[in-house]
Amino acid sequence: MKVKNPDVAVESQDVPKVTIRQLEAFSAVCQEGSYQNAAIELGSNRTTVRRHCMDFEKIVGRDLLETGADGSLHPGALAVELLAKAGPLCRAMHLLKVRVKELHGKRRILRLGAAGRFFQSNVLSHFLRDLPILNGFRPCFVMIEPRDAAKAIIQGACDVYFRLGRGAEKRFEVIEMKRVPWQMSDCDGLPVRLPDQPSELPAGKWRILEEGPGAQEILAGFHAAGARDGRVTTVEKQGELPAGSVFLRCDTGEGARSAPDAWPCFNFQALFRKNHPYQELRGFLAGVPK
Amino acid sequence: MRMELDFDILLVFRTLAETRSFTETGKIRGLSQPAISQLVADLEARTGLVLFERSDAGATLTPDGKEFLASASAVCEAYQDFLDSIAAMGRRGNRKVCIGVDKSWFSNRMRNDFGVRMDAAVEFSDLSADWPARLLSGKYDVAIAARFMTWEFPAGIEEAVVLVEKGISVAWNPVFYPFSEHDFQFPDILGISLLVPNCNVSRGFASAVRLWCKHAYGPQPLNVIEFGDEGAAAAAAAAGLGVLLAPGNVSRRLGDCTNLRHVKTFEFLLPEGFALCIYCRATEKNREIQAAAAALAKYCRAEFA
Repeated sequence: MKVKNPDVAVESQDVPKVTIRQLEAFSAVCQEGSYQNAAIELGSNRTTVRRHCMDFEKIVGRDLLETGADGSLHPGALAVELLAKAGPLCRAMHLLKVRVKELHGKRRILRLGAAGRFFQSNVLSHFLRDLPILNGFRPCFVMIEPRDAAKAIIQGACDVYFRLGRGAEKRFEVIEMKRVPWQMSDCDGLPVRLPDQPSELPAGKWRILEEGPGAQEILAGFHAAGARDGRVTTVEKQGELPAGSVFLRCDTGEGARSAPDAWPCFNFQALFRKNHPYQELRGFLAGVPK
Repeated sequence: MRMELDFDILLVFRTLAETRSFTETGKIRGLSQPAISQLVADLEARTGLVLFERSDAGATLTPDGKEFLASASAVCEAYQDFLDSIAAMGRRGNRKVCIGVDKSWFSNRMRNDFGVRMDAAVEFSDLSADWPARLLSGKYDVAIAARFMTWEFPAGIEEAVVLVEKGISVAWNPVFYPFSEHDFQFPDILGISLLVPNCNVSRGFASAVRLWCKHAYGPQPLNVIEFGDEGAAAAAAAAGLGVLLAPGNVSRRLGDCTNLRHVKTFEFLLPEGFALCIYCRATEKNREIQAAAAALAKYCRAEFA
């Protein structure tokens, strides 16, 4: 990797870089007596093991392995001394790995974030009730509004963010989890029955609320399905609807079923960091019944 | 899944846990800030743990990160010891001795003079903050360091005192401060910035000054500026930035700052306040190292005592 400022006194430049691979290869050869046997022991190949040993000898600056009359390799006096010194290091590394497994075993914290509106209704708890991922983690919930969501995900303030939206995001993994049905109302906010098909919407007198990213794509879907002249609107412009118009918004109420296939719609999406340490996230979230 | 961890990534993790800054960690480890971010993300992916919470203020360890740190630090320590052992073996093969030196005036002088006398038999290395542990692990074969009063060095290390000086010295530029050498009162300087050597120059001095002022006079000094070099502290005093406070007899350590006046004080209270010491491993059997330590002690006694 690139050294940023060569004038700064750095720790990494005055020490040789011994790697765990080199140590493992060297220890295995000392134990097994040949590169070939060491490679089998390590699940590697002879060339790689030999290269690791040679790199290690280069760092030490001495030949460490001696060849016996039968061609087998033995550690020299210096190598024996080095192996003894490497013991505490290998033990510490082993304990670290054990510790990581323990941390996994005691269930890791999983921070689930969503906008405040989802905490006001039962939608989030209803949705998460059967989420299998919760069995392997200690879940906690954080309220994060959509405008702060990207930062929260990147900085690790939340592990998974739930929102309404549609389509992929460049920076995040996005799992489309559930098709959210529409509910329709008139200009006065009174509920109106949703027709069977988008094409049955009154031409030019319907609006869909921009509940999240992907609203224009959904609008195009409406048009493709035969609906004519509708628009995307925001909560602020809700009061400006022309007389006789209808207004479509996501039905996130308890018991809401998935949207019928005929209707383009927003999805309930789960977002998380592309390189998130919890590698199980994608599988778990993708496996949730839609 | 096999967990692939390596030492360099753990060193980066530990440095970031200490500094809480990606930029600072990059400077210390000699990598760019994006490279540090990538390495940490890589470590998190390999361990399956969220180790840091990032924010505009830096990186903070998560609860899992804190637990991971304890074990990762043990690996880092063991790795450092192992590298020290390799370095020590290399020196032994080349019949060289590594002398760790602090930043005191004595060590600086010795480094130039004694180094030339010993020719290629010795190499010098600056003492790190954890030098007692590194002396034991083999990074240094011999260490030379100044100390104020006493300290509990770890078991397994032997100390040889080669120079002792009484009390402490105060030096100032009379153009800026009207103190008298004949009627000097220590509390008078508490309202002025004190320029004191840090622990790399004289172990224990700066902290002792603060403690002494607190318990003996009540008020703390107005401002304490620590210096990693006595020459720089003397130059700052000569420029009127404050009063230089140093252990022992500072008169010969003022370099070119001839415009400074100075007094010694607390000589009765601190008969062995300042000491220059040479440290070795108690179990050291290597003849080259023993000879170098003896020659160093002889040199220091002849030159400084």
